[in-house]
Amino acid sequence: MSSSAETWLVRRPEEWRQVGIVGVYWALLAAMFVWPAARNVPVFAAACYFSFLNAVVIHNHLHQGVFHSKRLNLIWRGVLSFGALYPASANIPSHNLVHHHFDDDGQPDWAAPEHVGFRWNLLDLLHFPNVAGPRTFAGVQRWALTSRHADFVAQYRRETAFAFGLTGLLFVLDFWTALFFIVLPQLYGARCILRINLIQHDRTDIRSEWNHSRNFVGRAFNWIMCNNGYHTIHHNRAGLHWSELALAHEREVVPRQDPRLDEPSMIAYLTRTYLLRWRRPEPLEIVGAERGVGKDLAPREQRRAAADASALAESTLGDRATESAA
Amino acid sequence: MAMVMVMAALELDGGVMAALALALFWIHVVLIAAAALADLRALARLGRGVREGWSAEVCSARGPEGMLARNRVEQLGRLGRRGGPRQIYFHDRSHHSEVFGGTLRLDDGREVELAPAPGAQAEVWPELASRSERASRVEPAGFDEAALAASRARGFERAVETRIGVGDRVFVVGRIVEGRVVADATLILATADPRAWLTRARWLAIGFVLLDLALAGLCTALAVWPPYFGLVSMLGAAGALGWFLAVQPLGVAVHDALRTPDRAFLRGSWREG
Repeated sequence: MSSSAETWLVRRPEEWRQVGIVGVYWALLAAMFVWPAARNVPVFAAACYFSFLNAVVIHNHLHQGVFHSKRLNLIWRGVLSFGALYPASANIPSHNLVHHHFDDDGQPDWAAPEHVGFRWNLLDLLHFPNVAGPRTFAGVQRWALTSRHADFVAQYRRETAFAFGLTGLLFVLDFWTALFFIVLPQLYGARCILRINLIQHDRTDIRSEWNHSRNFVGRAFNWIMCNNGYHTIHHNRAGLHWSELALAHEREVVPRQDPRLDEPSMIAYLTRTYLLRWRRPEPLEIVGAERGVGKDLAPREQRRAAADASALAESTLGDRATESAA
Repeated sequence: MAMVMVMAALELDGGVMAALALALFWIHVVLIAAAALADLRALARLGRGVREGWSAEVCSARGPEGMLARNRVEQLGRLGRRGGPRQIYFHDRSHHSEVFGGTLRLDDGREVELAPAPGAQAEVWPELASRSERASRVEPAGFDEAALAASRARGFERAVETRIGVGDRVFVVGRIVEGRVVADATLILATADPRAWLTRARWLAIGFVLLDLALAGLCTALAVWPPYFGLVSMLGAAGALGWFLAVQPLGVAVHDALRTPDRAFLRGSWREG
């Protein structure tokens, strides 16, 4: 992070891509809200897709803030929260502290693939946010009751107030336009980012060091997704900046993981898994497929403690206390 | 010019968007109802075995401290940080059932042998209300010690046990073959009649499905009330959005309430004073 001090405003030049994504998303929403000619299929579809990307930016920003200024990072969370219609800070307990631990702490991940179990696999994909969403927000509420970070609760409330306040204002101004062209894209993105948990972890082995996640390695896909296709290395090195994940994936993951967990295309995977087959496929037999843990990989507990401390420190303007979600 | 014409052809007017919104709404309310119906089917399968259950008195037990069987919930407590009286909030880390074995006396006076079969599945169902009541009790001196541990990063660990011992009445789901208890699939030992729990669980699932679909139907009827996009229609759409957001946590709460008593969440809290 030391070299990033040379970059104006943002910590790394790559962060402008994330700022741009959010800018485009807000522009699409604003255009549809104020300009009837923009209410058409391409703009609406783009708004839905960029809403999903906005949620990807939330994920990245909650691991490592975009801006040098901590205050600006907290304000940015509010901006992102409006785009997803949920407080971005919810990602700290739900993603950084729980999902990254899988069930190592004795309680299942709030977004574990096992929460759904329809016979028709497509229904699992559709239904997953209906289960993972409430489990996540109930879990966040429980975590907040015992969190030592009073700042977290205040920030969470500010983001909630901004996201729901601005959406409510738009409802007052024009109910139907807000419902159709603001809320539908917001919900699309929020629900798709929950589905990603199912897509990336279903039928993998979360006990494994290198076979716990599915990766989507298309280059164009990862450009627009800010490298969120490389999920194994993200779990194993949560402190690594998203712009470094592609190289780290090639260097560390590819030689060690089961090659079936590298998917060239998410669209092809979704089509094959959810549209062209009825039943959920059997879990992959990957026990024993792991080809060496790697000497340079610190134990899980140590890696997670470091990542937890870093995520929580981003949440406050001052203190750097550490805690776990368990 | 061609671009403008294409855009005009792809225009999303209120009718198209309303149909899309209602379709999405119904897909999800039906999925949530279907998930509850899947739980109901599982309860029906369970009910077939439970109907043939029988009760007996424990007359000897081979477990530690005279236990025939026990259910154990391991919990981790953390100290609340929101001001007011001190409170420790618990979450469940695991649920275990253990059967140690012993002998049971039937109502006709016969005695039967209950022995855990290696690798066989067994569930010990506690009576949930009394387990919650026991788990919520704390002595003032014990609270101070627990609060100190709960304030640390490691948290306060405890286990809440429901024991079945000599002299207790137990409800058994399993067959008697040549003086021994044999389970077809899973042996169930319950401290209260499991049929009562099953009946309540079934009605909860049925009631939720009916409520889910009825409220969705009501919101839809209002949303399409003429004139379209008028005040009543707007209230219906707002209701549909509200129900879409509310039915999801309700569905999860119902699913959790239908977990069999051996795995039912305990959670809970201790409050100072």
